[in-house]
Amino acid sequence: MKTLVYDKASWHIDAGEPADRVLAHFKFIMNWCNQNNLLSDEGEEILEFGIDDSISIHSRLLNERGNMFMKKFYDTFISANIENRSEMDEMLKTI
Amino acid sequence: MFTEIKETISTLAELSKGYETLSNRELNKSLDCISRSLDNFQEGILPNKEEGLRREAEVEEELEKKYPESEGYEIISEAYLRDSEGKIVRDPETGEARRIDFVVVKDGQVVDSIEVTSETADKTGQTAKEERIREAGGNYVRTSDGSLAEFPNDLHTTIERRK
Repeated sequence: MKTLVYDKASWHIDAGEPADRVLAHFKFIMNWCNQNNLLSDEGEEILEFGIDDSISIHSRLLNERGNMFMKKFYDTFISANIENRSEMDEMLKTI
Repeated sequence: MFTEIKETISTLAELSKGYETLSNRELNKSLDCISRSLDNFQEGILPNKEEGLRREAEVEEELEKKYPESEGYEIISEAYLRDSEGKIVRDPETGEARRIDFVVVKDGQVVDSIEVTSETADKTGQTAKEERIREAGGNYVRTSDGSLAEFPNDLHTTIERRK
């Protein structure tokens, strides 16, 4: 099955976005997914290793519910940070 | 009587003020959501993703033609450089990992490795990081069946630049 890519830090960093801001978003998303049990074993491995500029959020990092959430809502929260946690929690309840 | 009417009007005015405040707050919350979505467009976040996806889809299609599955090739996307035990290897200088957009594998060997980027992005840092990780033992990628495929010493990642 083809891997579905939801987002990559390099797409934004290479386009000139500040790396710290981009990485803050990816760290938040990965930690939020972990707290909500949305990661696969591979996702947990990446989170445990540490989020750096190589991060790519894709279907292999997520379990079924995680993929359902990302397919439906990732673009809405594409620049989300901790301030958006409650909105994301609400959206997750619909999955 | 007149005093009572005045008090009632005053109370209603107060209540109405509170109602307006709550209503505006709710309205602002909704507008904030829309404005944040607009900000994403204005800041180029969504276009960055769309352009990244488009470039990679183009390259993936070309790789599928060049390396057909029917001839035993496997195209692995989002492949981390790992050691012979399958652990992701850290760059000794930055502590970071190296993930490659597409790695092509045949018979347990890596035969091609491609990173896709824009025409202008500077990739010298990524290339140097990859070399350090390779020297530190990061010469493997994990295939879809969980086995490891090895990079030959003379094979290095090609930077594929697209509009």
